[in-house]
Amino acid sequence: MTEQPIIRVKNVTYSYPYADKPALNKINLTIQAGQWVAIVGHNGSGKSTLAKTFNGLIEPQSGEIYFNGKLLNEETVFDVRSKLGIVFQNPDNQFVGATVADDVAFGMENNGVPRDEMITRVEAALRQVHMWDYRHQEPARLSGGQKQRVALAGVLAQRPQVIILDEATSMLDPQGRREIINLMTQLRQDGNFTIISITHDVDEAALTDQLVVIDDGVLVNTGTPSELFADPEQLHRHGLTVPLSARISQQLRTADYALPDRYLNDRQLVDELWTLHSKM
Amino acid sequence: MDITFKNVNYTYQINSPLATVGLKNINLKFKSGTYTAIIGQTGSGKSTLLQHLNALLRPTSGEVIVGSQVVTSTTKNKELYDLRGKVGLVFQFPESQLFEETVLKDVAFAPKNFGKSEDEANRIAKEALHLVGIDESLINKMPFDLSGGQMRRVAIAGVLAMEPEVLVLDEPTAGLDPLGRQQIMDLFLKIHRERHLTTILVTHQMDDVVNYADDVVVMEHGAVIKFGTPRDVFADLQWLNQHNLELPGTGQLVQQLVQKGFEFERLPLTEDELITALKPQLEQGVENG
Amino acid sequence: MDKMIFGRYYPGNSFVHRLDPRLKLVVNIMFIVLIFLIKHWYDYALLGGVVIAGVLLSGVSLKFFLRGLRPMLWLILFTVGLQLFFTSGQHVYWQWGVLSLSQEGLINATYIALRFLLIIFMSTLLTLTTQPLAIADGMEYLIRPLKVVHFPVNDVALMLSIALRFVPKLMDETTKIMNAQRARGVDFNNGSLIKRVKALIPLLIPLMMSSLDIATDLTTAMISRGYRDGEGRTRYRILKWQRADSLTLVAFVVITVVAII
Repeated sequence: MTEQPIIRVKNVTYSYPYADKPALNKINLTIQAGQWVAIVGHNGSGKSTLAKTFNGLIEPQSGEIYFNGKLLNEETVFDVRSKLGIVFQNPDNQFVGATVADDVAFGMENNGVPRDEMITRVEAALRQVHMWDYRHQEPARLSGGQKQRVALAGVLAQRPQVIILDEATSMLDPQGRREIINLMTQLRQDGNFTIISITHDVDEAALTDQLVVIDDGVLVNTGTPSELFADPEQLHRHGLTVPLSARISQQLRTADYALPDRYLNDRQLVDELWTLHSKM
Repeated sequence: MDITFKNVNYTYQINSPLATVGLKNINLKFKSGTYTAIIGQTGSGKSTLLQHLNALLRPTSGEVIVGSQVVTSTTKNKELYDLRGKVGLVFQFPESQLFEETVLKDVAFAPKNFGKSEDEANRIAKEALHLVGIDESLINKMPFDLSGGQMRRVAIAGVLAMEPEVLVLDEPTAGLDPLGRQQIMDLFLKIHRERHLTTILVTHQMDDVVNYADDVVVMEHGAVIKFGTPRDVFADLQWLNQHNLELPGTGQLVQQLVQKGFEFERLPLTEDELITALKPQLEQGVENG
Repeated sequence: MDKMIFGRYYPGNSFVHRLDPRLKLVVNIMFIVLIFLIKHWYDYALLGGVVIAGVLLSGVSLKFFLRGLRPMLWLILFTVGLQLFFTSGQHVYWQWGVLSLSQEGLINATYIALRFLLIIFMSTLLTLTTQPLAIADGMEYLIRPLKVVHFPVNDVALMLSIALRFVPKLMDETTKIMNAQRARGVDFNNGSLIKRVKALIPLLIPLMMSSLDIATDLTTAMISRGYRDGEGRTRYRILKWQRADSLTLVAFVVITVVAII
């Protein structure tokens, strides 16, 4: 993995029309290629707005976005859109095609990919998300998780460098959520993707390399999940929670049990607790 | 108000080639004043069952008894008016039902439909809005100008304003962030206790089940496959796995602790229970603390 | 809700199902024109034969065709009635004021009824055996020549296919909102006409809002996936003209010629 910024956000400010305060306020952020980054924040914090500036869906009033070192503007925007795919929140409202295969092909049709190549790429992408058997189905017959997998296949067929999941799991049932998270974990191992999760799900955030906390349009903190989960109170102030293991260890620490003052995942917590147990 | 299901079957599009079974021989009793959770995978029949609670659907065969009203396949719409007023139903993503010009009018809509005067309805509506934490300054705004979270609260207030005896909740916190989710769930518990409601919650969040519900109904393929307390239902890990059901958040951690050698007399279900059960098994490190 | 026009496709793999949608569209148009050109009973018999052959070959039960007739029933009865009682003629069987029943009226009414029946059966044959999407595709091919006059054929075709794709979703949404408002005490079925029209407001406004939401989301998704305008796009789904299509077309042209002569 190369240590080179794929996305650089410089001093970006954006206000929605008629809004009394900015949705994004002087945001500076660098995302390295090959990383899995979670942008976290409560409902309405500005996290989805930020993601929409990355491919020019929203044009900031001031500041710049660089993709692969190139400034995002009218000339580069379509190139960026072909290299940065987004899976959105609502599984129904992003399904353009009338069948699964049609939908996966939509992005490639826009970019004028020849039909023979589309056929190969549609099949490869659908196999990657385990939806090839459903290629002739209409969206109405799919579950939420299946629709999101098709959306992901549509992104993959474009051979992107960056995949953004914009609260892609928030409207799914636990099974659908698991399907998507498993796929992402696998994609990260196989491919050379940069993944950005826009989320308020701590379990999704815990899987990433870096967390970016947004509140009221301001970037309030960045760090690895372990760094940020070590301070549950801070995340709580921004409307977020920490994984169960972090809450348990914090509560035991306040009750004077000698647990280390850092984030422990399930396995680490069990080990630490066992040493306290064995001492008895 | 008790709700009883007696041999209830429901078939969608009956007498057509597309007929599909929605409910299979349901026998259930939701006792007055209890808080019951309904769980099961998507498509297991939870929503179909739910729509029988205020007779939006009528059983194909069998009967649903809501308070003193018996609902069967032949019950007329007109007879259901009183029943609908007593059973409040919060649908999934309820903000999509908002339509009035102002927040207040929208919340007062249901009480007016059920016979309250304009003034009385407005008074109840204001109370309900206060309860869900919507500020006075917002009540004359267009509902569509509010944030997503606020719209959700207004929609919930619109159902609470019916002053129902039974409150039915279909995944009321779907899509909310962790803090918003907890606030809404705590609110429902508060109302459940203060107004002595019978509450029925459909959910995928097993933490909500263990934190709030007295009883759990587990559904699969349109049938009830288990009914019991959360402790009964979550005790049998193998059974849960077989039926593709989730564990509460504590489940995974407890399993790992048990494997390591910790012992629990009763399965800890909530965070608090887990901490209480752990403490006696740990050495308190005064110097290290 | 399940009586909606778009839900009328009857899945199958018969000869008629497999025919190219462009062919089925063209034949339907030719058929309608033809119906208004022919004058003799034996021409009607010939076209009736075509329809019966189509119905039999489609493998779809007659029940579904009759169902297609139902929404048009009043219109047919009204038109037939007009013909029956308002045609003046030589052989009058019965008269009352301006109303009269004559031999000419009887004949005219029969022809009108036959025309209606044949057209409805033929178009029902199209919708029962062709997926809505395939019809949209067929239409796009047929209006392609309009590109010459700068008609945005690709955009219109995409609009049509998206509209079709969202019909089931909007129907779900309608049911959902209706249920939510019924739970809040709205009665959509009873009461005076004014009351019932008023009851539609709590349904229509949420439906409009949710359609707007869908449109916004869909636009965002389409732009993100690089959609610009119809030009320069390639196509994934294409229609393939088969030998059976050519043969059917030839057969129908022959029938047309015979009927006109």
